[in-house]
Amino acid sequence: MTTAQELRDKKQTYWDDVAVGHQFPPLVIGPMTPTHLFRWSAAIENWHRIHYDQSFAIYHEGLPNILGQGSWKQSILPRYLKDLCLPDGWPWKVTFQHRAMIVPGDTITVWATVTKKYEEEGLGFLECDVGMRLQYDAESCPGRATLVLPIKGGKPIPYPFVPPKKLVS
Amino acid sequence: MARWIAIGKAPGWDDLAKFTQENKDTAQWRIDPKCTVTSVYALGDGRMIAEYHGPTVAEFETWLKNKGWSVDSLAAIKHIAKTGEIWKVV
Repeated sequence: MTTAQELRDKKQTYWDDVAVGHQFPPLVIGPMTPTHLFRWSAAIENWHRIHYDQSFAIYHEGLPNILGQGSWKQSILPRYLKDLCLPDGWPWKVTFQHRAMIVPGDTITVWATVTKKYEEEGLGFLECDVGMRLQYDAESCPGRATLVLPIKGGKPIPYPFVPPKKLVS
Repeated sequence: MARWIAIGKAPGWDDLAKFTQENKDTAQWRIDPKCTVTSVYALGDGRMIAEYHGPTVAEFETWLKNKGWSVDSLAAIKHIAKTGEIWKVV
C-alpha cells in the first residue's frame, strides 16, 4: 500500500515522459481478510450479510465466501488513478465492469497501461486500460480511464478540472 | 446451490503443515467460479470430511481425486444447523 508520506513526496509524472504501452507501477493489496471487508461495510453502512456473515453467504446465497464490496473496488481504482496523477495531474474519467468476485485470501493488483496519448488546449491526455487483477490472473474490474497530466513547460491543469470543449460531447 | 459431504482419507493431511498447504490458498478451495470446497475437517481418527457446493458433484469428485483422497462416502446434504441457524439446502 502507498503511504501518506510517499504521496506527499511523489514526483510529478509528465505527459511527455509517458509513451503508449507504458505500464504504471501497480498497487498490490492483500491478501484480503474478513476484517478488511467488514471495515468497509461498517464505514459505508452497507449491512448486506454477504459481506460479513459467512454462513449466510455460503449456505443461503451459495457464494464461495463473504464477498468484497463493489463500492470498495469503486473506491480503490479511482484512488489508484488519482495517486498516479498527483500532485498536479487529474484523473478525468474512469469506467469499468465488475467481474470476478473478491473473497478473503485474494490478493489484488491494480494496474493501468497507456493505450493512447494526445494533446488538447495545452493539456496532456492519456487513455489507459485499467483493472484489478487477482492472484490467479482473473481480471476483476476491466475498464478504461482518461488521465490528464501536465506537459513540461506547459500550462497548469485547472482545478477544478474543466475539460476542453472539443472533448465534451 | 447443491451441496455434498465427502468422508475419507487423505495422505498426510493429519499434519497441519500439509493440511495448510492443501487448503489455504484461494485456488486450493475455489475450484472454479461456481464450485467451492467450503469446509475441510481433519478428524482425530485419521479420517477427513470435506464439504462442497456447486452445480454438480463432478467437480468435487475431480478435486478429491486430484488431492489424493480415498473416499469412503460421498453424499448430498439436505439441511444444515450452524449454532442455531438452520439452512435448507436446495
